[in-house]
Amino acid sequence: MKGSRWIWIIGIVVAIGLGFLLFKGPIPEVVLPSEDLFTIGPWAVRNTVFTSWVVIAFLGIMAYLSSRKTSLVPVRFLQNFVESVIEWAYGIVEGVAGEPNARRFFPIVATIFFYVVCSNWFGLLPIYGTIGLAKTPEVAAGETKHAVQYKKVDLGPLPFAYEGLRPKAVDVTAGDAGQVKRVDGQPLATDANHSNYTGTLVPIFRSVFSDANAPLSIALVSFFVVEYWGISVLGLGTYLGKFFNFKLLLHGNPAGLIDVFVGLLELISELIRIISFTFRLLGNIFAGEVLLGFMTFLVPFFIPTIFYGLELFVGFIQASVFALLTLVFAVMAVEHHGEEHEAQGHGTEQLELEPA
Amino acid sequence: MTDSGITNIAAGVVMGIGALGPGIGIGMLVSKAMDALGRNPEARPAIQTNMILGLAFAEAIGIYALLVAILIKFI
Repeated sequence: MKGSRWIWIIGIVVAIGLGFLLFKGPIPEVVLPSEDLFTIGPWAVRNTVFTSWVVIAFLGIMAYLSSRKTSLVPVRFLQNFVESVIEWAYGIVEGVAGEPNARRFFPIVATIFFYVVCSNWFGLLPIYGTIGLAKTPEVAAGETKHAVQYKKVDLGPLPFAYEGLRPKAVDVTAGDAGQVKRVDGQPLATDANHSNYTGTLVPIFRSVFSDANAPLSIALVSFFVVEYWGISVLGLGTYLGKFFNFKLLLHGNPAGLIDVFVGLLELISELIRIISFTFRLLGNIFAGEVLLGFMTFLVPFFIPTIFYGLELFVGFIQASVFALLTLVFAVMAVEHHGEEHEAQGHGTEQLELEPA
Repeated sequence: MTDSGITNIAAGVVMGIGALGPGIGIGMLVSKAMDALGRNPEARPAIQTNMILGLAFAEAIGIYALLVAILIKFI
């Protein structure tokens, strides 16, 4: 190996060692429910809701900017880029659903995909989880909890907190009257502004799908939309006949019992889909956040990059799985019982997730 | 045995046993996909896409176990 290569390798190893020894922060707090930021009237806005507004604003601005002054042969970068992405997505949808259904399914399926992918990838930005509002931790009387000493800045009515270069982990406990105090006796906050403030940080930005409500909402949308497409294509009677299949039984054939049972099983499996969609996405994204936090805690420099790569991959795969599963269930919902392979396009033969 | 001791053990056991099923399932799934790919390399896009779809289902079970372990340990 060349001599200069060795210097880089030794430098990186030394940086990793120094980070491990000197720059370790406090243990990250794992909080599953999302926290409130501010209230609008009676509604307490949570940080994931606020983040989802940011993601929606980004998608909306991209859509608006790329559709101004369009030309048949695109010369502007944004229009070209967005058109190529949409064409790629539409090719996949058409490969699974076939021509007339693809136009019907594409808007919702593509929206689900782009919203989830953008939310997941935005969750890897450095502003997520690091800046936020300062809050005193809730401690029961006599119980000891970990808190962190932050730097606090009051911007208008909201107390902002951010971590200094070497944040200290501090234990806090509560007196008998319920007031929170530090175990080592020093006051919670020192001076008025830029104070060293001991408490918890409520992050302003938090990855949207790490809160249980967000994947549940998208799973409900997916469920209702699939049912709507099934009913609008097949008609209410035929579609419900898939689940409540009393035809054979009413004609006196005892084998009709099996049909009824299978129909009920299908109904239950439709409802279970909501649960499995929710927990698949929630588990992947939330566990990814916890993993990134703990990896950064264990070895602060260079090693977490590997896990950021993993999270990029996982974010994309989970978004595409959500959208593809919605699409596949929609295709199954609109097919007539006898013609299972006729109405589809070429099935999944022309699907390509990556270029060959 | 203290409360926090038993929650730690529980979280470990949940994740350990919960990772067995998906691990075996994903291994079988990918091995069959490799077999199919070897027999018919021209069908690569179809095999690959269906394999990833199946992977998502199998992976989800492991993620349920991870979620339960995190819930036990931290909440």
